[in-house]
Amino acid sequence: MLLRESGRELGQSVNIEAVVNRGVDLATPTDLTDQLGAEGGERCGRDPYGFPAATELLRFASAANRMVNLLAPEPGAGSPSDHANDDRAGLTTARAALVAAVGMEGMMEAAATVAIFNGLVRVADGTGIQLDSAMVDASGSLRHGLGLNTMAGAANTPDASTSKHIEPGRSTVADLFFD
Amino acid sequence: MSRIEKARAGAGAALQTSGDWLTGSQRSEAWHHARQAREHPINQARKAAVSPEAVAEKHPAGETLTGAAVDVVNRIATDPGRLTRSWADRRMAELGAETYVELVGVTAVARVLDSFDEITGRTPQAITRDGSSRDDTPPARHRPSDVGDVGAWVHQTVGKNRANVSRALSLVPETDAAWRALVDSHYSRGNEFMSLRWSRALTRVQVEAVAARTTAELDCFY
Repeated sequence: MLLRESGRELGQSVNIEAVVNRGVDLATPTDLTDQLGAEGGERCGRDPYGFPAATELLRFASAANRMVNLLAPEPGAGSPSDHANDDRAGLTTARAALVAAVGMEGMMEAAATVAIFNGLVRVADGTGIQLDSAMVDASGSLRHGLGLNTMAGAANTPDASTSKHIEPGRSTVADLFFD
Repeated sequence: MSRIEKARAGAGAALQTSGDWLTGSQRSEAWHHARQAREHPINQARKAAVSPEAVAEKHPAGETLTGAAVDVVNRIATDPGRLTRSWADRRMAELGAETYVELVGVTAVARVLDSFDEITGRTPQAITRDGSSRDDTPPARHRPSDVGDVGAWVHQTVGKNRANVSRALSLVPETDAAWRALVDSHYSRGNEFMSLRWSRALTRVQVEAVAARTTAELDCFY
């Protein structure tokens, strides 16, 4: 929701589906059409994600998360040491590309974001917190569209699967977190 | 020293100092387990299994931590997206809710510090585990009076003056303070969080996109 609303604030129509779909790594609108279908590609026009330096930022985020996490192995994957070497090389490449796109300070901010959200995820999942009540309805349509209600953590929010699938108007940060 | 570096130094020191219900030695050992967790065969077997519960082998006790505590650190570190309330309830019955929450917080802080170093290509911070440097002073053992059931697995501050994730560790105030300082420096930055337009090296859209991709990679609903 903060992604959508901050995009609206800047007049950018962010393709949230592509951002959160970790199987999608887009460089061109053709890639987007291949991955998300004609409607997805058409919706985004020339820019596959809808905001500047998106490809570099998301490749960096995915490479960083592969590097620092034990993610489930792909079917037919090689040995763990092969993975470690691939992940290290992938992150080095992605980091250099991101520095070229947004500068060293921007790369450090992206690194800080990946790092802190690796902590926030663990705090949220480890304590079993509910989605904030104001967020439940405000994000109902988005969660439904992205299939997020099937995630294990959705069980912690009793109203998650029954919330309204409305398309809300613009929201402030306070609207999303406070009743 | 930048805002992030200052917070990282403070958080690293706090991880090795006696906290709410754990001694500095226990917190240091938890950090060590969190750092090693990806390489541990039990965690790799659990990750490859349909359910982590399908792997019979269990983590043994550590030098200062019980087997249950070591298990909490390893599960939080490597498989947060598949935690369940029944698993957490079992661990809290063994450890006490306060110690469980402190282990969650310590593991989260440890992963933030180590992840940032790995991502930026730096050498990880040293963890003090030698005898003469260990902090075995008694922890604070203070349970706040303003916590209760707000629908989470663990008790938190009652009254809705903060986002749920911001009060998630409020049962353990020492750990919570270090954690929130880290969040503030790396992401929310005080009242700036309430604005949808940020004047940083990255726009808020760019930061939130990186955040969204990260939470998706880790299967986090919240």
